[in-house]
Amino acid sequence: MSIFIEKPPEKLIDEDGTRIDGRKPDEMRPVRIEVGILENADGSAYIEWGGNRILAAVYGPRELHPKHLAQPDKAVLRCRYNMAPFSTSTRKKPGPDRRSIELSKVIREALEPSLFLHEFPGTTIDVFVEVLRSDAGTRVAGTTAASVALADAGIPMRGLVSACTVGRVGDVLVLDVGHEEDQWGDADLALSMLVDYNEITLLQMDGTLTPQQLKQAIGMAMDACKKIHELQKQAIREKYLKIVREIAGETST
Amino acid sequence: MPSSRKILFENRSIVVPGEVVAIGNYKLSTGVFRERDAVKASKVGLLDVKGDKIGVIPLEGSYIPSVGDEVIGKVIDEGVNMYLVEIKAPYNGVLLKKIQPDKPTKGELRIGETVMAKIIRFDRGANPLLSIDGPGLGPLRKGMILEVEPSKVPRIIGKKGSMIKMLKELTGCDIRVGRNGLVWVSCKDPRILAVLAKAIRKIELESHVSGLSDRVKAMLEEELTKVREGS
Repeated sequence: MSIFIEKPPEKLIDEDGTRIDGRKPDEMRPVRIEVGILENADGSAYIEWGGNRILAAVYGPRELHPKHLAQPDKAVLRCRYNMAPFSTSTRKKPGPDRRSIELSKVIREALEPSLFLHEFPGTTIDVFVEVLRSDAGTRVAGTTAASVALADAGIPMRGLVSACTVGRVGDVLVLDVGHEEDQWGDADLALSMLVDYNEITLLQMDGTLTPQQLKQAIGMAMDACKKIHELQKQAIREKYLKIVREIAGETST
Repeated sequence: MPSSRKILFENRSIVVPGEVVAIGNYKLSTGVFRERDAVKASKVGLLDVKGDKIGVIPLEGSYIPSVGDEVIGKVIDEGVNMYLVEIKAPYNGVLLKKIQPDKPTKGELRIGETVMAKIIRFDRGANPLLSIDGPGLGPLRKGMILEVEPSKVPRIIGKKGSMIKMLKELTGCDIRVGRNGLVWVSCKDPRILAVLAKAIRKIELESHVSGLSDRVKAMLEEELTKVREGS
């Protein structure tokens, strides 16, 4: 057996509800979002969510090649989720695999309902989600960053898409699943939503939950999305407020 | 009965897509949409309230052609009766040639040439139709092209052209602004050109902070005296 294979921990959660990384069941990992950090993309965002480090870049609306893929009545949203070879504890073989093709699709479908694609017929909007370091919940962190990058690209949209996960460890529902809970937990559920409309745009689950637990888990994830949504809005404003502060500092000195 | 109306943000504050900026039956300008009773922002930008009209001046976004815009583009292909012009938009411009069947078409444009043109027809279904008939339109054969964000072009032009007038007066350079974010500049002195480029970059970066033209003017005057004293 390889020395790189991790051993499952003895327990994921204490009797008093303290999780393996020290969080409470309803506590999220710290999230930080930075907007507009890639000079050459039309829109970009960088997110640090727990140990996750993810870049999102948006290009477009731009001409779509090959031309036959274009839709005469709306823009085509294309999405690529990719994990860097060094983003995991054992090297990930570069290139798209079954998992990243699936995640590309679900991220695209999570973002699509938020955009006014009919404003740009015959064009494409390309979204790239690059995972630099993964620590569970990359699809929700990637969706969150991609939505901010789309706003930064000036793509007209109904609202921002926010996302979060909920998992189950034994009988306890835990918010924002961490790495160990993702590996050895009993269930995890990913949810993305348009907070402004209370619309869910992505709902996936691994493992098993009772109907009551499912209801509760969706509620927990939706509440967390609201917090993420605030962070997203703040991050977008911060890009401009930073410049305002710089100028104020210049003139006062 | 007039329903209760309310604007929820201060004029010129930064709004984010999805945010409710006002409630009530306001007239909508660009960058906003209606959702039941609420007026919501669809883009990142500055809230712009003019009487009854609400809009968001976008801070980001690529160029989308619109009839009447003057744009700067590059000829990328030539057909029997038209040129294809790349105008930094999702759609290439089409510039029709004036063909006189009995005479050879003479002295027109070549592939790779830069041209200032006006959009005379566009409906997003087909490529925009360009024209180079008119004052100031046609090939740009000297000078230099600067790239700026298309959403910042109105700031470079300024209110009723005040900003561009100031840039021209202070530097003595020839400047033409394409609505698509390409700016053509022609200066006699390359050092002044460098100062002008710096000023344009400053406008692009600080467009959302009030007092922009004063800051640009101060910067230009300072840098220009340096250049002129140095020579």
